[in-house]
Amino acid sequence: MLKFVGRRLLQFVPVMIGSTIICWGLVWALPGDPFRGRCGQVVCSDQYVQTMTQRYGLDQPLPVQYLVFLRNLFTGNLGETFSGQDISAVISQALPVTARLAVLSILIQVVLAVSIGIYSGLRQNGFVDVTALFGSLILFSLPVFVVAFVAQYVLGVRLAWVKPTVSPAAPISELILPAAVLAIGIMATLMRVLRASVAEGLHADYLRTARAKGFSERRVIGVHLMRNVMAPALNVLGLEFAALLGGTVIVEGIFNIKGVGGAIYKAIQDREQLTVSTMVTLVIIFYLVINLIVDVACAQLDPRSRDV
Amino acid sequence: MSEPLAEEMAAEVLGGQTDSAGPTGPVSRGEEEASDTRTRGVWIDAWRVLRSKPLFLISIGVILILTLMAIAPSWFASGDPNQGSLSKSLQGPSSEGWFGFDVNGRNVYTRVVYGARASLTVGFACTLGTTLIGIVLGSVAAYSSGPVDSVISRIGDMLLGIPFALAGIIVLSTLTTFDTPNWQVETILILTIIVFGWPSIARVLRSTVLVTRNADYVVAGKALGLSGSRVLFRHILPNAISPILVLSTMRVGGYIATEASLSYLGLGLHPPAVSWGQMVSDGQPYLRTGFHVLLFPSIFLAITILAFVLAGEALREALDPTNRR
Amino acid sequence: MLDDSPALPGPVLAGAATEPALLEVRSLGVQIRTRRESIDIVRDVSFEVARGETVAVLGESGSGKTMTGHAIMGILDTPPAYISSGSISFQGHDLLKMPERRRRDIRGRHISMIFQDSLSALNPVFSVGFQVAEVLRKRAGMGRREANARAAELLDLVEIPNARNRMRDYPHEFSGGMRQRVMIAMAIALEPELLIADEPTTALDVTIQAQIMETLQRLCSDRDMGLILITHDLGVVSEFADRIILMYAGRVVESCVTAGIFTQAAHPYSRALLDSVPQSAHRETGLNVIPGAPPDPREVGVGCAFAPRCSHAMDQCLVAVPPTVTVAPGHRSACLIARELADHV
Repeated sequence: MLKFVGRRLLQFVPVMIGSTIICWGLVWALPGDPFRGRCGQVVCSDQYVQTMTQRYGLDQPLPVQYLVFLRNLFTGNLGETFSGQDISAVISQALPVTARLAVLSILIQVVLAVSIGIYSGLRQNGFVDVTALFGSLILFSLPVFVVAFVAQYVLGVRLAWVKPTVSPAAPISELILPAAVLAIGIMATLMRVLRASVAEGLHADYLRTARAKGFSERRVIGVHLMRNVMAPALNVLGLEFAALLGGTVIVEGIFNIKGVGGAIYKAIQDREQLTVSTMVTLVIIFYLVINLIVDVACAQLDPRSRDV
Repeated sequence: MSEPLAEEMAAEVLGGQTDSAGPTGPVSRGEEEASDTRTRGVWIDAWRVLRSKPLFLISIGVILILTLMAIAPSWFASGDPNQGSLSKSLQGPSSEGWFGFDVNGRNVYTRVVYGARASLTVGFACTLGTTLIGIVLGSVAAYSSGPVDSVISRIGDMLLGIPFALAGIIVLSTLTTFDTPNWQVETILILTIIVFGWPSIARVLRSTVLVTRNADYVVAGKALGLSGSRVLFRHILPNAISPILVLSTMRVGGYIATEASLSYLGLGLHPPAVSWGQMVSDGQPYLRTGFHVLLFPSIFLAITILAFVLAGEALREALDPTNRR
Repeated sequence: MLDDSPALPGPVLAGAATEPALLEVRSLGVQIRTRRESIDIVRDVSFEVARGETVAVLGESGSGKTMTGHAIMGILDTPPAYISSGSISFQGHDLLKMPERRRRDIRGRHISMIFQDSLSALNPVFSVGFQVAEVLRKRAGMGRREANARAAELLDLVEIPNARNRMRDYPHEFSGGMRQRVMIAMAIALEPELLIADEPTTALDVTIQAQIMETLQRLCSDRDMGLILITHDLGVVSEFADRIILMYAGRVVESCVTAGIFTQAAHPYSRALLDSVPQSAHRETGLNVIPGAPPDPREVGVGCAFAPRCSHAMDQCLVAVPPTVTVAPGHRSACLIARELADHV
């Protein structure tokens, strides 16, 4: 297991470097003026360009520029937004809100997907299964912003069950609707993977062995089958984290949540490209780290994946 | 929208395919023709299954109508999508305007019809690009093994590490402004998705080729002295095509959703071009007073994506040998 | 140690005045039922197993031998497989009339099974030690520590080298032979009276096969355990079985002591089977193969299922299933010319 973690970390480093190079390259190394639009509709003053050039080392050779970018990223020296706020301060303020939203959303999808997915896997072609299977395709097809608007209009405006937008404090109760919206598309995938692995596992020889040992059906399904289903489910959850993170930008924008996604959304609307790219780069790094953790957890759950 | 679902589904096909490839038994001199008919047989069988699936036929019908809409919108709607009279601002659906009118009094139905072009162009162009590049780089990686393989695979890993919706946000916000011409925005968007989208196709193709390459009948074909390219085109690629086809079909929907989301964020096409994502975004302030302005483009978007996903799903079932019986 | 659980009532286990056979299968029938049809997989199968006895259930794949084993264990995949007729009594108690709770208690504790493909039969995500100890913890009420110690002893008993250190390894880290030994350790953990081994050595090398069989035989005789050996391998049967039940297309065609089938086979199928075994005598004449293929269970008619491939077939063979006749004490055959075949050596 330790060997696996070591090897996985070793693979992680080049991917991390590659991904940050790509992000950095997109922002800094492509032809064009990185300060375009930085100063609103007017052209930036020479003095401003000079300070910025120095700050980001733009007069240095490219590899040095990349290292400066990395240093800035990891020391939290992320620059300022249009209105002069420190980006790292904005993020540290917004992070708890987004974390709450994300955790809540994952909870919702796991509870729903696990219960529906496992139930329909155990009772294939039953009513629940067929409905869920078709329903999941529809949910999977709906872009997040469509779901968000419909939910906001129907539940927030028409029925007035919830407030259509979230207040700055973002208490859990107000985050339930946005979290559910965020969960829907991802839930569909998770549910289908669970259903497929439960259905496959039901016919597995090891379940017959467990029954032959005289274990109760609860232990046969609850322990022997479930442990086999967990690794693929967790894997999907990790991969789907990308959709979750992308979704926060839209959902936090629509529900006016003051989180990291909302900050990115606002920066996009304000055309603050430096703020956008810095924050998104951080989000991508976060995604990579999450997937590293998921991989290690999967290897813990299923020893066979350690040998790959 | 995201890839793992589609990839998982394609993997199911992949598994089925290799299973069916395994026991294809000993190879005689007549093997070449046998394999040919076998491959052809798979497609004929698949078509027979598909023909009797109403959901597949409906999906294909919807896709055809939408494609026609994208090519010749004026057949479906009269009038200019950008012309409106303010007197009709936010009027609800009526016989005059089936889907009502937006805040500028423009006919929402006409605009929805004209919006099909942006979505389908992005959907088809990205699919074509990712599939072609994926197939070429995937088979090169599988065939050359060694350093070329690792370089391609590692680059793929890095690109896959960046979700393409997020990549799209960075690229479009960096490279475009309000006054970038629409064709440039669209090209940049398509190229971004292609650059970040090919690795998943390449990955599936690479693993299929690697599995098929070691299948007994391919080894035997080589032993019988068939040339490398003949083995590749006659035996290996036909086996790899069906998972790729399924994956690609399902992902058309994903690309369309990405375009719509980016347009919704204000990073995609801007007026005078019409796109569904942008219509939803424009209608956002009128959520309370003119919900129809948001609703109809959303419905079209959902139906379009659903049509591709359902078509892909039907294709997967039809091509999966374990489902046929 | 194990008897504190609500098992079988005392008198039976203690052995009453007339001791019933360990296992008695009577007219067992198993059907696969689909929406369109029901197919008989096992038809009218009867046999007994005594304590300490090794009975081989011999037959080609598809002859219904594995289904018979699963039916005795009570682990048929229901649906689609159902027991359609007959009785299975274990130490005088009809297993088929028991409530599922009691049936389950018998599984593992009194009747155990080992399976053919040990890689898929062991749970891939649990360590070997966990899987052996799990039986002891959940079924014998042992604590974790005690169960682990006993599991190590069991692995040692089935001759896994360095057993204590391999407890934490996973099934895929073992060789096929070692995995099968783990299966055996699990099956005997609760000291059952009857063990069903479904093709235990089919997936293994010939040399490993013999070692595994020797281990099995040693354990059975040490513990006076009945063994049902499901196999298609005549070689294994001749070496290790006391009696043979020969199955063809779901029916028992011949049953006898092991030597009987080699000295006075009383069914054309057994004769053909013996002839098809490569022997040095065949060097000149070539191998005798049985013409044709075993029938699809859907297409077995009213008569003898072997008739289409049988060189002795007569018109009557196609009309009804030939009655089972006793050709010698303990030697029965379901063939119209059984006696003639038995006498003609």
